[in-house]
Amino acid sequence: MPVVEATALCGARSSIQFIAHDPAADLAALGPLAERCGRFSPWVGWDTLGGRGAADWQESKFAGLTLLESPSALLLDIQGIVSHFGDEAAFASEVQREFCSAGYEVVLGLAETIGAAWALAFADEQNFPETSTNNVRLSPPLNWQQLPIELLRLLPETTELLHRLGVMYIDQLLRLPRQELPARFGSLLLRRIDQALGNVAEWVVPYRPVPKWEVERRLDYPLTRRDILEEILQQLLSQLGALLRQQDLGAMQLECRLAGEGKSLRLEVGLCRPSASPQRMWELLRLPWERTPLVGPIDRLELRVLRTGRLSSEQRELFIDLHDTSEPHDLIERLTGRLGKEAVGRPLLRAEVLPERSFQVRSLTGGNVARTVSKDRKKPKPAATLFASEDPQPPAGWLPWQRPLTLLPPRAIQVRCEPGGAPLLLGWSAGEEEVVRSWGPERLETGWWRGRTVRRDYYRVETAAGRRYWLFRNLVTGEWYWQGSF
Amino acid sequence: MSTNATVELLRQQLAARETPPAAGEALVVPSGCEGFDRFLPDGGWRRGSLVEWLIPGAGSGTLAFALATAKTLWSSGSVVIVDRRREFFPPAAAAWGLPLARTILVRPANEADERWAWEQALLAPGVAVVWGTLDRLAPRDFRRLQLAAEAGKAIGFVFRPAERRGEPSWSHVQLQVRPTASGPTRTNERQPDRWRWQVERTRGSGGRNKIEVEIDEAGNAREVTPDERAVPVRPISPVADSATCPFPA
Repeated sequence: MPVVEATALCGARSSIQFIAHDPAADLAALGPLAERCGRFSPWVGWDTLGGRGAADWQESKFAGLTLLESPSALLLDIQGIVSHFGDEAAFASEVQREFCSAGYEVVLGLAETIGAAWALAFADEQNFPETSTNNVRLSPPLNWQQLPIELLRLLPETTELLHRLGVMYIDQLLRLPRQELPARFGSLLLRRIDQALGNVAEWVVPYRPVPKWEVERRLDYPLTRRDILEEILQQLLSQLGALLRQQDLGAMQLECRLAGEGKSLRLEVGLCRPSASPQRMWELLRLPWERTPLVGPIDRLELRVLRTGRLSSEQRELFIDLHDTSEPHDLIERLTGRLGKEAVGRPLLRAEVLPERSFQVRSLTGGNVARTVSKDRKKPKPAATLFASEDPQPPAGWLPWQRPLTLLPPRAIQVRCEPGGAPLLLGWSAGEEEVVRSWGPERLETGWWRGRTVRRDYYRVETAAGRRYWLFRNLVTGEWYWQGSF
Repeated sequence: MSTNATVELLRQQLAARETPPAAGEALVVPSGCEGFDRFLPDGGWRRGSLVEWLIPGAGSGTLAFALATAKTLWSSGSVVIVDRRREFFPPAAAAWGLPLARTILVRPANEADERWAWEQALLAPGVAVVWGTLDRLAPRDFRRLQLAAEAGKAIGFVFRPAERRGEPSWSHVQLQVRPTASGPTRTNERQPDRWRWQVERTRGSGGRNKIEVEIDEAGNAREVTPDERAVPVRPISPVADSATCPFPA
């Protein structure tokens, strides 16, 4: 449901917390769960609304993951397997116990086809009064054709279009002329209907875990000397680099763990370009290493590559052009290595009314998956393309003086105004400044869908001293705030 | 040897030690404002140097002035903004022509990381401009940045409080920008916007050390002619120094 609806349900005083959905994090967590299901079936995979399955999952391809491509369920082919667990109920119970131990609550749907099983798992419980127990749906309800069309794994825009035409349930959809469906709604709709009914075959495409690129060294006795630990780390980097080069891969995100006596230390570096060079990886790893104190004697060292990339995409220059004006990757990696991924990035403009929300900073290393904060499932938009992807531009019509170059957290200020509302006198703590010119008001207000409404009238003012500030009056409270300087 | 001969010999030795510019790359980049170029010691912005801007308090428009006169530098490489205070506002900078697609925003957590980031950015190939505020800067650190700029051929735009004037500086040119009120009347009507500054060069050799520059609402800078200076505009208030504004720049 929308945020504003959730807030209204919980009440204004509730301590509700909103966390942006991260499809990439969900996908990263799904892999290990799929591996756990390996004891129940040799064929474990998933499907998405957009039709991308587990076979398409490669780390390098999932930059810019959207909700449309985010798996919502695991699929297990259990043909010929259930009997080893007794019956379907016992099998389902075992699966639930496995997920419960991992901290998850699951709803299971067992059916003859993937489409039917998916529909069972996602249908409301009220549709299964007799056959459903403890979130296990072993057979479809008698009135399954009166289930909503969303259970057919349709694309959101297809569902919306059908709703506008008054088609809400499966039986209504089945009464439509079949031959006209592809032309009006695309080929996927007909395929989903046939998959649910079992008219076309559908298989579980198994998930194959990505090889783990990691090396480890356990010491015979704990060490505290940093120079020796550095030597060992560099040896491990050489081993890791050799492993990666065999597959023509390079590291884009590297994790280093040092542990001993129950304590551990974790370092992480990101790269702009894949690299299997031990020297390069050490040059970046050394930056956080030098600034991090040891937690105690170390008896285990691990290096793990969290994200890889093809080495063949790396530009190999025989002579480095010092006047190369392309992206300074080395600088970005060094800055990120020492300051952290959150401290280095590229500013991106956002189509937000409030100035403090009108931009974001995106990290440039680690094969960072672009977070797509889309509240509209029907039209997912990667944040980086809200404006022109090559060179984001401010809104059309903006003049250079439109916004201050220094934006501050709003600070309360005393202002004497004209009857029309324009500022006349600014009251600072150290004295007053007369306003000789002002431009405004420019009204900025958020929509109701953003939750609590923010309404501000902004003024650009010039004082007798020639200084210019950006002020606003909160139209709800009437108070004045200083938010920027030109 | 006479004094003049000694000075000439030293000047030749210094010139011989200078690193020659790369083929096809100009050592000096014009600012886009002819009068301001004549005012600068090299006739424009010199690559591999630090430009120190002294800010007389919040709202002085020093950043805007610097952006308006630095447009010609954006095309020659990446721009690194070192913003420890997290006050840099990208949408406004983009409206002034800063190419965000080639901008790297660095937000160090402390002053030591800030100085380190500055040095790394100045040294890096492919960086055209390093931009940011550096309040406290020991002479030794200032010298390191100057050497880094020389080696990397970037231009460092260092913004510092006006109170730092008179402290040891390794900048190639030091500028102090003071705003003048743009209009004699108080009005809320839509008027073409323009802003004038008196710019004083407090460091860096060359001819005159003061100039008046105006920037129009499109962000174009031009020198104010003596005739225009004769038109009465509201003078700078004698108390219009950084002390009147309690908030730092």
